Amino acid sequence: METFINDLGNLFTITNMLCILLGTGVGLVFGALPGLGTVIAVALLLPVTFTLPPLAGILMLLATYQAGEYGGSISAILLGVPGTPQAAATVLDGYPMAMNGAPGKALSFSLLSSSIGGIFGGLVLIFVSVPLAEFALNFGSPEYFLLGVIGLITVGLLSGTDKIKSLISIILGLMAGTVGVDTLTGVDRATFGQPELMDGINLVAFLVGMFAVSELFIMISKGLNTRYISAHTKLETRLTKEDVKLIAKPTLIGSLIGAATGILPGIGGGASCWFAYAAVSKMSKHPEKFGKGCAEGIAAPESSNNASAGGAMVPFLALGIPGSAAVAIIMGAFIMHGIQPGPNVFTAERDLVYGIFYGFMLTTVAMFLVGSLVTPVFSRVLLVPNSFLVAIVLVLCLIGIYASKAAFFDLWLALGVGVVFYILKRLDYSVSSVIIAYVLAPIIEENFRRSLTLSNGSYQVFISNGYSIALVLMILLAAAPSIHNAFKKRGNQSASATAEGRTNTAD
Amino acid sequence: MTLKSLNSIMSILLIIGGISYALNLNHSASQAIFFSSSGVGPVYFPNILTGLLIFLSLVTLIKNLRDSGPENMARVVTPNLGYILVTLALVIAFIASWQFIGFFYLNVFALLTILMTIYRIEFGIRNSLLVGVVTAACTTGFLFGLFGKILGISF
Repeated sequence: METFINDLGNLFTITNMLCILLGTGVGLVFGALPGLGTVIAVALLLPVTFTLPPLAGILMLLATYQAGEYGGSISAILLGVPGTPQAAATVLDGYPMAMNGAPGKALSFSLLSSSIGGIFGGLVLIFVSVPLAEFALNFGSPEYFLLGVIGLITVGLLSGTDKIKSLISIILGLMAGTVGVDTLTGVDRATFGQPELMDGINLVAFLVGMFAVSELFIMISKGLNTRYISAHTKLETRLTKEDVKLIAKPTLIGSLIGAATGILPGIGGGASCWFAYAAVSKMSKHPEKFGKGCAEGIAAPESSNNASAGGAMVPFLALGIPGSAAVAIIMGAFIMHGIQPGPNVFTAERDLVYGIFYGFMLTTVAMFLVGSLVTPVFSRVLLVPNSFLVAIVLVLCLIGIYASKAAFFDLWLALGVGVVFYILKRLDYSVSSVIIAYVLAPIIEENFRRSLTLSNGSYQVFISNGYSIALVLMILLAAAPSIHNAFKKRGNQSASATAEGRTNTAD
Repeated sequence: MTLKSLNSIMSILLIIGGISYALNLNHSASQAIFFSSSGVGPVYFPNILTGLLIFLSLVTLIKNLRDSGPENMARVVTPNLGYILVTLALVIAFIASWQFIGFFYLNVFALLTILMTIYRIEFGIRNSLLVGVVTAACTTGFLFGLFGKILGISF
């Protein structure tokens, strides 16, 4: 009890509260604006965490992550344009409900179910992380290497349509992670004679360039003076008891699906919202109402995407594997403060971990309170055209990059990275895979080398005990569906080519 | 340019990038003892990555060259390419000016004004310039207040 009170004492400081409020505000705005989204919001706030105590900085990013997940539904409901990919399923029923004259109610359904999903995800985080971390203490270097590979394989094979390009993206991320002085031998690697690269590629410059700068080019490409028009000027947001009762079951189902899919690296809120929508529509007594402005169709995807945020934090804190691109950036904040997530963080940084546990709940409460108060106002933000957003966000990006290390080299680097990734994104290379590989590179390489050194270069070390064999099997299981699909696709292509050949011969 | 050509160029660039990474890596590491008793030195893992990158890029290149489907043969269209190139040029000028001349806030004001005037040019030069100047002044003032006065960060 005493430690619990102590944990709460560490949490309820003015700095933490202000950071949560700031993160919530930024998350709501960026989530609501189509084109920007949660990942850019988290990347943009990352340099700010440099100047803050670790807990305050991380809570700010978590609040941004949580609020961004809800914020995406604001534009999905009012405009029919999802602010984030996680809000894509919300459009199906949210927009028709808004069109039917109840936009405020649709937003309230979204906010309430997102908040319940967030709390559920927080509970999963608290109750699953600790046992998982205790179990992970049995792992040695080979198992950590294999865990890292699982993270890469699941994310790489689930993101992007071209699996080979996703694998190339993983390799690029790992290569970027190896640049700089090798910590074990002091040898500099691939620095190209640049002293600024001795400490490795600056995380902030790399992230902001990859996500924000390239995304700004995409926004310019989509149109600078596109003005989204919302017909809703007055939003009545109050819900009745019956309304709350109506969404109780889909919210619970959505939360369960969201938390479960969030725990699996690589799936995240983008997919979980569709799983939840499909499950609830199948279980519903009135499936015919879905797609026409049904409250259950808003509650299920919204609760699932917020629950998946808590779920994605579980493998991150317990095993050091980020489950999504946004969590990978949050991992960047840990690294910037010299903290390595994983089972040891529970003993080495106990106050921080429990601060995150309870703070995660607090970020959900903040999202609910701020969301209730400002959602009607935020709907106005949607009217800001891209010409203003692009220019201002671009300047903020450049300031953030410079502020992180006060090096002009990083500005040039971010610009170069932004241009390259703008082209790579257009060619279906996976940016999420690059960033997750980049943050996992030190863990993977260090444990790979340590394992081989201990085994005198023998690769048998990776199948030397029950845990490592189980992990190898998990890797094979994760990769199997993609390999199967690739062969199936190839088989279909050759069958259709043969059939075409026969038709030509007959002619 | 077709999607096929762009994909091929990207694969070739990745192969070249991989080779130059490996050359630089092995050159710098050769100055030190890089093989431990197990043979796993600082370049062991990066060299595996280089090999994989070159192999996978070659696979993509060959796959792409063999694909003559209509999707792959379609021209790559970039709407507003002019705006993207102008933005890129202005950002390069902004960073260079800030790095070599200084006057950060003046540079921010100039960048924002020019960007917003160009972006809103369809509304007429007078209107877009006025909106650009006002927005740039307000934003620069806000940034100066936040970074220069409250946080005490000098650029």
